[in-house]
Amino acid sequence: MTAVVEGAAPSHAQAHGGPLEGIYNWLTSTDHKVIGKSYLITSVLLFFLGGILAELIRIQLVVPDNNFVSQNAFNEIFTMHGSIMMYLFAGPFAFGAFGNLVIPLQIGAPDLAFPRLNALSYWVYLGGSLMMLAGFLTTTGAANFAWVSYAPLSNSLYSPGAGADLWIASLTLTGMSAVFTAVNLITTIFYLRAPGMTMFRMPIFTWNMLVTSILILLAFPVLAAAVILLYADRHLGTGIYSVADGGVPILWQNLFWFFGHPEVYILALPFFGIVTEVLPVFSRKPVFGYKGLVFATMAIAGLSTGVWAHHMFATGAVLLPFFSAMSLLIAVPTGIKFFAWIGTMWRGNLSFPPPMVFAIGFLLCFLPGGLTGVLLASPPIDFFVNNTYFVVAHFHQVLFSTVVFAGFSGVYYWYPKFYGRMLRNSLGYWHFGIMFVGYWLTYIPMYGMGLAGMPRRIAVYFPGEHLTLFNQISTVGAALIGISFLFFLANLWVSWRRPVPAGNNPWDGHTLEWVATSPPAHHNFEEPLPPIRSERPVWDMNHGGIGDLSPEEAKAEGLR
Amino acid sequence: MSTNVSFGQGQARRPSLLGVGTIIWIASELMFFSGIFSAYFTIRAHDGKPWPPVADHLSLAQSALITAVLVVSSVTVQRGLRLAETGRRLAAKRLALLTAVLGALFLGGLLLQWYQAPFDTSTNAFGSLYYVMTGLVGLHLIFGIVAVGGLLGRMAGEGHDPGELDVYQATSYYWHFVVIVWLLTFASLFFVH
Repeated sequence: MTAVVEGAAPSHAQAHGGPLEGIYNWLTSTDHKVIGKSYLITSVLLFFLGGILAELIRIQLVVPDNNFVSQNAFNEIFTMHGSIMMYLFAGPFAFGAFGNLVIPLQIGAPDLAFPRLNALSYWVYLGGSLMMLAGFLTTTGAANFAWVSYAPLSNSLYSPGAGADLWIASLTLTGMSAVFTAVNLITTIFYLRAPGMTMFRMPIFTWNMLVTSILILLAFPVLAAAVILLYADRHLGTGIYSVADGGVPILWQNLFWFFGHPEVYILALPFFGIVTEVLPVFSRKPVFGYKGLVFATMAIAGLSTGVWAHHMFATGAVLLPFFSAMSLLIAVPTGIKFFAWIGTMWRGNLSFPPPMVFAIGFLLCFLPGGLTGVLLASPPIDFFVNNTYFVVAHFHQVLFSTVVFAGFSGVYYWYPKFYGRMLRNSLGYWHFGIMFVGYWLTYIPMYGMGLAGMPRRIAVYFPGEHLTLFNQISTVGAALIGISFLFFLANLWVSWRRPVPAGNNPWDGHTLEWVATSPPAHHNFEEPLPPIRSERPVWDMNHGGIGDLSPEEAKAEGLR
Repeated sequence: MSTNVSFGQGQARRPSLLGVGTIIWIASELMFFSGIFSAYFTIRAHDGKPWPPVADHLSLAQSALITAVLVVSSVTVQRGLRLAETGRRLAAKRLALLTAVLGALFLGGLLLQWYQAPFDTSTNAFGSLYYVMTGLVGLHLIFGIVAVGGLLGRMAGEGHDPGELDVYQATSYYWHFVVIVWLLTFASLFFVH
């Protein structure tokens, strides 16, 4: 974890002298920016680890009947790839890194409501993450029952190893960490907004994090209950998920997906929020359909709690019309968001630095993933492609476009604010361009594999099954995605060695974080905040906007 | 973490920042127990036999007694909070201590029942659920006793710690929550047939 130490400590080391003192300050810090950077660096390192595992999967599948890794190792690799990406990277990247770093600044607060709880949350997350990875060090290997851990495969008979128990403990800890962060963000957003920052003047990102946090409170505790019952089955002799002992195996699927589907939106909504921050700034326009976006976010969150059984269509144990209809309905608020994003750019004064390019890339890449989701919500289609690479292609397109394209839009957008220096545009374009091509090459062939009948989670396929070309194109794409991140790392290196100072407001941003210094001071704002009369107070201040005031009110305040 | 909410004799306090955070956190605890209860009722619905299995009857009188002890502890913590708000710190501390003692008594009674039960976790589905559900309530009650211990530590000095009322209030919210979950557990285990 030395990289975390080096990455997070410098501002303190510079302020207080020696490196030991810097490390001490990092270990004991309760500043939301220090903790947010720790989250950012830890989660991105885990993303690289999960990505390396993905490349191993693609290497194994590049030729038919390959023996690059053993079948058992392959099970561990895809399980840990999914688990790292879903539990350890995407969520903490959203609410640990971006939520922590940006929310207090956007609402004009000095810190989160419970700074020490925030520190606890990070350390529990780090400990939980290392615990899951520690599975690789046990003699029986890491967890190998896929990230969904279905009963009865996950019981002590079929998965006796310690890796499975470490996986369970890790989920309990990282779930607690997520709940702590959610409690912190909700309380902060309700209690610590600056004067004038009414709910309907909050930036959309803050709104989305509020709704995401509520979803976390709904979803993660149910996962904790499910894995604690699993642990009891494995070690305390209970038979909750065991038919032989009077239990019900499908209960696991219900509990897991009651978490698992809201989790998808826990991973998506924060990144929708990032895109909604970036598009207006680089279109030189206020966001189009502010309230529509807020209510669409709420509608997505509400619907997401009633669709979990669309992951269980093929069990024959769920009410197909209800869960199908609820799932199809989610396309409506999502479509409203798309409409608002396009409306924001429409006839705007567009510019295309990397954050904007990544945001537009998100729109293009998310669309096919979302549309195939609508297909999968229809049971007849789902029965046909159930458990094939078609499903893999769908959810990778959805998650990669939101978490990576929109997420790195946020990284390019806010990096200057929190590190005080610019990233290079040219390297950002290279990162984007190669990743964009790699994205389509990796995932589009997977739809073909799925329709040709290739099941998920298999280590080998054979010549003559017409799967080889699809798999080879996909592997080339995955290699390109991997290469694109070398340009990102190079960008970090260049900005570190040859800093270009960012200044307070390099993008002509709209929201309050852009009046703070870059990086912001210990309690965020050294100057008094500008008056908050709309959802973009900094734009109002810099461009003489009157916000929500009527012309008469503005005249009375001497603005016009 | 202190608030600027003023309060006087006989005037109930608004929740502090800590209190609001605690309520939001309890919402997540509610979802946790929802998961556990949904497991209970799912398994109950799948089990065609008489419920609970006849041979497994526990002593209802004993369970009712420890339930009563726990309900009384909810009253004592609420009364203690009231006294703390009106400046009677010593009595408030005594009631906090009494609350923890009642909680410990409940745990003792529960352990006794575990020891005497004519079945274990692997006997049947009811046995599994009984130990898991009562165990999780007991675990939460242990956290509650630790929280009361922290509260007493915070109130140990002579002078007023400005945050101690907030802590008392937050602890009482949590305590009441655990008692309510126990009541639901007790009702589910003993009165669902």
